[in-house]
Amino acid sequence: MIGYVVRRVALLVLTLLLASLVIYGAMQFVPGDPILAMFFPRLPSEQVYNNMREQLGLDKPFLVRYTGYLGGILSRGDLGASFKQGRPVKTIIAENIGHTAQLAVGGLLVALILGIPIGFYAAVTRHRILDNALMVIALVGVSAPSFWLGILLILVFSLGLGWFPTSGIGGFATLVLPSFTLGLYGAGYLARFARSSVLEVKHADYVTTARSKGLSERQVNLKHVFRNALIPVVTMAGLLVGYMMGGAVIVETVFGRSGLGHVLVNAITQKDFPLVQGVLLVTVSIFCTVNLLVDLSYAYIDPRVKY
Amino acid sequence: MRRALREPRIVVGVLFLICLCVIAIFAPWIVPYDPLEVDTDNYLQPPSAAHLFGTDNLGRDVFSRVLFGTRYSLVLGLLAISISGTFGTILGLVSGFLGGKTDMLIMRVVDVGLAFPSVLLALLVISVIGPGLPSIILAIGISSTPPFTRIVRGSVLAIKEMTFVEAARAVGVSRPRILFRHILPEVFAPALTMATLGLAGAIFSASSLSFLGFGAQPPTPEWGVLVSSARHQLRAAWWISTFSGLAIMISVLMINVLGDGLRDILDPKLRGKI
Repeated sequence: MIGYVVRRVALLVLTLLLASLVIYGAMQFVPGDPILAMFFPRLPSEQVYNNMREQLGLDKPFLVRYTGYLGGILSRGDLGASFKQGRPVKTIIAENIGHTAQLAVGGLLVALILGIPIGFYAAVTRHRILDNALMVIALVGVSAPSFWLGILLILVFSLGLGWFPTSGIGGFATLVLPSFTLGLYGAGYLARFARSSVLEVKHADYVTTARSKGLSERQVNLKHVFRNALIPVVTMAGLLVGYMMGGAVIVETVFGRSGLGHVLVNAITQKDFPLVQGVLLVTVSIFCTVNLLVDLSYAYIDPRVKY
Repeated sequence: MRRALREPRIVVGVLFLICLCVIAIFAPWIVPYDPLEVDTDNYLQPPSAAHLFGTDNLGRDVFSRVLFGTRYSLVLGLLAISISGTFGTILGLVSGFLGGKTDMLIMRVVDVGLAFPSVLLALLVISVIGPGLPSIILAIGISSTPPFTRIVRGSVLAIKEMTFVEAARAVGVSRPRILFRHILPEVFAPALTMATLGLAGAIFSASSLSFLGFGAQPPTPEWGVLVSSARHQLRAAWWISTFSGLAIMISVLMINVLGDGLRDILDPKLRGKI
């Protein structure tokens, strides 16, 4: 087990290093001069331009700049300064990451609370029509674009019923609609997955044994079927965290919420590359770490798993 | 083929896709109004017999704009998926067949690709090459290549060990011939399933990126743009965003249905799974 963990962590570090190289390298291919972009729409004097070039290390070769950037991150957590705001990227990320985390947790809760029961119920119900209807709903969940879903929810629950604010941040009420918008895709995805997971387990030998012992259908389902069917579903839920982080970009735009997604979209529009770089790097690191934790948690959920 | 025709999801999905193609090709002849024609006397009209989906703030017919939008979404989706399908299949074939260092190298690159949530990888590409329709095609194509590569490689690894490949090798068939004549046709089934589900995903992503302002630009009647441009007039005109978004959802849903059906027929091992 320890050997496996060490191997996986080493692979994670390698992947993150390569990802940082890709992100940093990609920014070098952006057409146009970064210093001119910084001053846009004004033009810097030649003196200022040269000073800036030296200060940013743009006169040095790529690898020197990259190792400098990486060294800054590893030693001081320094991600550079935003071109447009002049503030450290680290500070901007720290100010916004909490809002995105709240949204992602909200979305994940919606996905888990709606998705798993729907999938499990669809798998064990004897009404085929109900099973089909639930699966059609799940399919709608995975096919409806979140920006549209968000707008529909605003139309009905904010403009129509006046239950929730249309946008903004602060308090539970502002989190409800964005969480549902983000979470309904995950709910549909989990419902489909949970259903097939139950169907697979339902015919296992130990389930037949449990039934022949005289347990009620309810006991068989709760103690034997659902528990075992839950294992792959947990992995899938972990993978959804990545979706939540990508989806946050869109949901934050629809609801005008501040957060990392919103920062990223603005940074791309304003060509604020240090900020783009920083947000992507932080997001990718969180995404990969969560995936690793989900994989490792397997051993605890399923004692049969040996590494 | 006969089995495919007995699977209702495939039949319905294919018929829908044909409809979508017909609408896309013949849009200029089908639409009741010019999608770009401004009619300031009839702005923000709710749905009626004259304007099925109502009109927008410039009096343009939303129904015509949505029908025209099919062109953009379908072409964007198909082009993006041909990029990821081509590169994913080639990389997966090479990686799985050659194994060793080549495999390791390709898989590390794929790992890096998979380290990004796909929207973010697409946004990284866009931040380098700038917004626009060609950019989002490339961005979605690149961001959906890693999962494609992985699936194809997995299939190649399984097929490589099968007895018919071993037999071919035993009678002295050359390696390229084994790859192209024996393994490639077997990879077709999972690749087709991936491509179909990928097409749904590509249409979904393209409209999302356009919604964010990185793809098609107004007044282009692209679905994501239509939803986005009307979102500040929700109080005055619910119909513009609602119907445009509905078009995206129905298209993505029907193509997903087709993909589900294909997967169950072509790859029985995956039956019932996502």
